[in-house]
Amino acid sequence: MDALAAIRDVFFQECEEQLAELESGLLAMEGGDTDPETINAVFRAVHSIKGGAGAFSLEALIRFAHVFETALDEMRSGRLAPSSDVLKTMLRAADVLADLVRAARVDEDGQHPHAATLAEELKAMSGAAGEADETEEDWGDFEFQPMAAAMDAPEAPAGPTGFVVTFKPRADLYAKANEAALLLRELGRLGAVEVELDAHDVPPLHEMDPEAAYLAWTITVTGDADEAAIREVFEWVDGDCELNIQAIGGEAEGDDGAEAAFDLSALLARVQGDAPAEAAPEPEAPIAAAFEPIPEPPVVAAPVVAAAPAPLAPPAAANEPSPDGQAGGGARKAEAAAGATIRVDLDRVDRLIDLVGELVINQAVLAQRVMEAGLARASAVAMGLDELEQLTREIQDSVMAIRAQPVKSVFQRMPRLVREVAAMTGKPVRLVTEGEGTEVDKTVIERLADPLTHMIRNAIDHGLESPEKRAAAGKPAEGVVRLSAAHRSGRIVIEVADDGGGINRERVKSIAIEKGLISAEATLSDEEIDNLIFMPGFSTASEVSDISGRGVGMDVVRRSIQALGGRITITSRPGKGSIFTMSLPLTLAVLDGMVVSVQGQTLVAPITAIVETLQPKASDVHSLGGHARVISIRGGFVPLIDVGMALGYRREPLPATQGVALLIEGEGGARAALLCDAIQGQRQVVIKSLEANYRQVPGVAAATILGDGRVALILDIDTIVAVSRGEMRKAG
Amino acid sequence: MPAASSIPCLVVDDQQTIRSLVRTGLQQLGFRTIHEAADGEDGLRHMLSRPVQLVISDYNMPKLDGLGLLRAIRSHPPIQKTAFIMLTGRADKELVQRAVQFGVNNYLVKPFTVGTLKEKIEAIFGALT
Repeated sequence: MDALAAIRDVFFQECEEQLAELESGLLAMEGGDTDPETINAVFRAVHSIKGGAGAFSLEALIRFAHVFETALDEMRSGRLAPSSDVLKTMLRAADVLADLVRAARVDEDGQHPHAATLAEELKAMSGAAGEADETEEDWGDFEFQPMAAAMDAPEAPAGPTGFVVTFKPRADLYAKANEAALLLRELGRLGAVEVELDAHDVPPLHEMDPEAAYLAWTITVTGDADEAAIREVFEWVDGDCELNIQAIGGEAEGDDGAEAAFDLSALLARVQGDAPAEAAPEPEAPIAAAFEPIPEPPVVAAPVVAAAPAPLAPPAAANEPSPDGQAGGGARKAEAAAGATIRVDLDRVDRLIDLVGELVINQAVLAQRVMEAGLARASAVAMGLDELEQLTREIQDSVMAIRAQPVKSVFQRMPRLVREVAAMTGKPVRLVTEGEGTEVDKTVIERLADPLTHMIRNAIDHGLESPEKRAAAGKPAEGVVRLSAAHRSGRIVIEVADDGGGINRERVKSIAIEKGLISAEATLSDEEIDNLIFMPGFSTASEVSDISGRGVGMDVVRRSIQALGGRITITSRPGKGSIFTMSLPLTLAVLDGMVVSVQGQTLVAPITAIVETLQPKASDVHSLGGHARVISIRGGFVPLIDVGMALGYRREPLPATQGVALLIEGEGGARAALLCDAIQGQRQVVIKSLEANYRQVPGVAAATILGDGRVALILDIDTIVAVSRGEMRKAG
Repeated sequence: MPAASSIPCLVVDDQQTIRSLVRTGLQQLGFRTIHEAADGEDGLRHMLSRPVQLVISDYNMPKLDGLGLLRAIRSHPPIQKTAFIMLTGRADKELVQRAVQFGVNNYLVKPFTVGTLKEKIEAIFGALT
């Protein structure tokens, strides 16, 4: 049942697409979209889900989709007006449908708490239409067009322009020393041919009978060959094969491609009922090409011996483009239009990304070697290498782009969330999204869903005021939450903005003091106060509400953003609202790093963790006994960690004044200063898993290979800080 | 008694799920040359370049629906004799009536079994081998 399981997967994938279409269509209608194609698309989405669900007997899903579809059909036919209330119910129904789909996916085709009530509401909308459910039995008999009648239809004015020959030799054919390849070649003499091999019947090698025949061919012969001539080719093998010859073409006299193109648009115009005054004779390339006889000598599949039907060339191989590249290319274009996307296993893409990473490194190593060999920059080798570098970068970008996806997939989950939170808090909210097409790595997108959910909840629950307060402040009752994405200097920036009251700084500060997060005397800038909400354990809601959770506030959000190599900041204006800004890398395969040297080793620290770099002054460094030291930075103390000691490169600590300190901020906002010997520079590095290639090393997150071919370790800031803190506590 | 393997066919549906299901059913019945198209326009374009003997098409599709495709096929002599089976999402008598007017050869209500698929095809072509 593997095939069915695979189709089931496809079904659920398609369901997600259809659910998205359903929701965006309903939202568009809510926003005043009256295009009939919108309601059609909405109807089709539910209809398709029902159709697919039927094939897999997902009863709960079928039942609900059916009621929903009926209501949508009423709306489509104009009997049910798409009022705001109706659309609101439909949106809720869409949410239930989404839940049912997801439940069915994990084999829980059971009850949904709201399905029954919503189904009733939908039925009430549909009126009588929802009642009677036709079955085929009620129909009586239809007079279907019998094939014979069709055959008697008047002949096409012109003769056929070609024939489609399906040819499946039986074993006897080969036994009588006939040769399929020769017959195909013979056919090729009659006109232009296109040969498609059908190798479906070929069994696995160990089951293969050397005497049996497994292959079949579909040959399209165009030109002025007549059927008799084609039959003649097969005259000697007639009884030993399955042969079918069907005429094609007809009217297209003179084989004019443009005329054939005219055919399609005219045909379409005719059946779609909007024949333009000037039936545009604009030749549509793919169709035109399809009718053009291929002026090339026939291309026949490689000679095939019955006993060894080995070369299972894909059909396209037998369909070589003609030298002018027109005919074949055109047909291929038509095919490309039919399937503009392919689904690829993610593992394959990741493997490719990995290999390209290797290529980048290799290329850099090679460049270094060429320089070392003393070749001039202007030498042909060096110039060629420059071009190679350019190409490699382009390949890298293109490969990364395969993994890139528009943020739409996560943004589109938010309208539902907003509806639910709005209903729970009783605050009317409008969600505005911008930049849904902005692309970023798939993994980043997947891990964005949780923090975004949290932030949007937060924006509605804490950011927006109650309708009464808003009225008092002269604002419209409906609050606005704006979710936007944009590319900015090689990163993606996502903002969640609300037009609420802004951060109540007095209150935030008093809570922070109360919880011991800051001292009562501390003087903080507005910005510093705003950022207190990212402190672990900070929660301003006096009663922990149902919506924003159990005090797992913004610190969790910040941690998940940092885990993605991102940063989050807040800007707030009293009375006007707050803006949370997240800046994330476009991919997780490369990292912006600060390259430093420690005891002759080259190490990389992630830039996102670094707050600032400084040259320690002797007067700022204080010893706590043992090797533990702290450094004073603008009045506060942070631990000074000697990276060389932490990683075991040296036994005696480096005098602080001889090194450079990186002030870093790790998990939960813990700060520390990492002491290194020197800073080499800042660069993008390709991340290589150390665990996969060696083993896990505490304090090391991953590795990379530098341009000179040397391996450099990427520091795991959080572990280094945590370990050093533990040691410091022991020492203190 | 035509051999299923000698009948090239085209499956037209905007849902890949349904296309795959029909394809699987056809394969079980011995069909070998099975093409797919995602909507009526796509299907028509396909038929003009590569005619088939049997079209199994959904009704409700974007761009050009199943009825439109059927009408286009019946009005274009080179392909007008192609057998046409309409897939419908629900038992919609009115739709089948209209399809009959346009010369549909049979219809198939989703969900369907391989048995029904066979029955409908055999009603057109006679018993399959």
